[in-house]
Amino acid sequence: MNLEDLRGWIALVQFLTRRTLLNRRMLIALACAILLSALVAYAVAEEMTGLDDLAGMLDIFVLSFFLLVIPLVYGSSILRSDLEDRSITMVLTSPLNRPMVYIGYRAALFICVAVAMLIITSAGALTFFALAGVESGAIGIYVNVCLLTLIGAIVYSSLYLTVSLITKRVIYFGLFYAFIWEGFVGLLPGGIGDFTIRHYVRSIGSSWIQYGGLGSYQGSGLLNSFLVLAGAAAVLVALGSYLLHVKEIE
Amino acid sequence: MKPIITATDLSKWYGDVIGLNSLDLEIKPGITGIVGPNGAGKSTLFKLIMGLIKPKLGEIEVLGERPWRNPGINAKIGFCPDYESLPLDSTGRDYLALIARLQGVSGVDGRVQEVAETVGMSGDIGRKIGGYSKGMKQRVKIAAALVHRPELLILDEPLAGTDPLGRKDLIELIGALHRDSGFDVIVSSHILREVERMTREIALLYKGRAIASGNISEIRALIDKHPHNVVIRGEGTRQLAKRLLDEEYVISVRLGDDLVTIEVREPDMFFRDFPGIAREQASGVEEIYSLDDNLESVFDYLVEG
Repeated sequence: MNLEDLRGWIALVQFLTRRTLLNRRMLIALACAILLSALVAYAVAEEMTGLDDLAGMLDIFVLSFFLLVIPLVYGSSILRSDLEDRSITMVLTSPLNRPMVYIGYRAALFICVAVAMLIITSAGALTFFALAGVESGAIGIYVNVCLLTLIGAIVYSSLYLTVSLITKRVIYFGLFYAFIWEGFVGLLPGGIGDFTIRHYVRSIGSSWIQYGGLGSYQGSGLLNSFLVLAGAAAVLVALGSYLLHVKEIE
Repeated sequence: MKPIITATDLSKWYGDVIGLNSLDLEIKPGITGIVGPNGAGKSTLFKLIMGLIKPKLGEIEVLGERPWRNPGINAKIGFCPDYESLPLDSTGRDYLALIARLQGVSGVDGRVQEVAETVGMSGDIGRKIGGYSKGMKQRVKIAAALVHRPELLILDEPLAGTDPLGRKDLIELIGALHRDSGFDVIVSSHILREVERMTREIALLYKGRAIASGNISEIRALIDKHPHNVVIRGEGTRQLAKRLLDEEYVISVRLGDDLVTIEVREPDMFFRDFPGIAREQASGVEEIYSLDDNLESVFDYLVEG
């Protein structure tokens, strides 16, 4: 990749990020998520004000709900809609090679998901702090959950972006994966939970956060979890790059 | 002159639908019109040229290179697709700046303004594309194809959906791009008269094959053996038609209310002899015209032939 290609790639990432973040429907979805996050935090803080309660709230609503939904909302449309309306043509007829184009979409998606997740997490945490006060250790929990959302965002958005190259119905896949596989099958007794992204995100969380459900979670170990998530993300990015490389734009 | 496009036995199909069928075609520098009805394979050919799809059989070379999985060649080509392909929630300026940066153009802002002026969009380039008319979108697409100063412009149905005034302007613009800026242009359309106004070099596609290519006059020469229909309007045309039937090259005559339609085998001979015969018959001919004096008829004849 030469310098001109790198400049083109950065321009693509900036364009996609701005377009996606400022999209009216996405802004409405984000506003609803912020409101919901603040509302949940308000409801929790009315009754429970300890660190266990803060960690439990962020675990359930951020790591187990928003972290699955927000990447799906952005990831199901950022590339798929450009393929559907064929506005990707002008990008694919530039000198940038297709794997780099894919990685450009991937980078833009990660930035959008990361920004949205940090805002949503902050809305919940700050509402909680405002009502329950800031106990010693509370900021640590908040920062660690923010880091976990960034790690999760990398893998979930890789998954949905790659699937969006395989099927037009990525939203159905995402709903199945998030709510049936991770939300139900992954919680069944036995080792089946090891085949979910959430398990490894929570495993890392259990090493960092000693409060709430995360504190007692029987994870797969910090290093193992990092390796599994990094491997999954790398495989998904490689697969997506290959799929776009061989895709015919009819 | 070295061809800019060479297709050899090129085939592409989608399931049961044939896009191109053993196409053999050479396109030389200049402006070339690709003409054919819907489904003839024009857009398939352009997508193959741009490396958006892969040939099933045969080969295609663009500026001496194969385009599939060869993004480097895209720096030499500007493409205006027949579909909208524009981000509606971006401004024209942002979109053109993105394309310029993707293409490695230096001095992006100045170049964007320059191409906006070239296509007559400088006043509206700051508006969102979603609010543009069809003609304005076509202009922005052409500007995007021009922004990196390519060697070759591929314009797929650039006149589609534009109003008559817009079409006239675009036809003039395409001519000027070749004349003033030296771009080689390949332009497709099924609006045949407009292609004829842009160029004399055409390739006729039908059902995925090139049925003829070259100068329109040469193609016309190919069809001289085919009958032409000539309409004559005015007084005394029935008597005139009766006299014309004596000529060997007249095949048939159809009578209308105040006109006759003569089917002739050799139109050059007919038009050479006609003034003398009309004078001899003292007929009051008010109007004479050939129904076949346009590209549609050339196409029809070649297809039927």
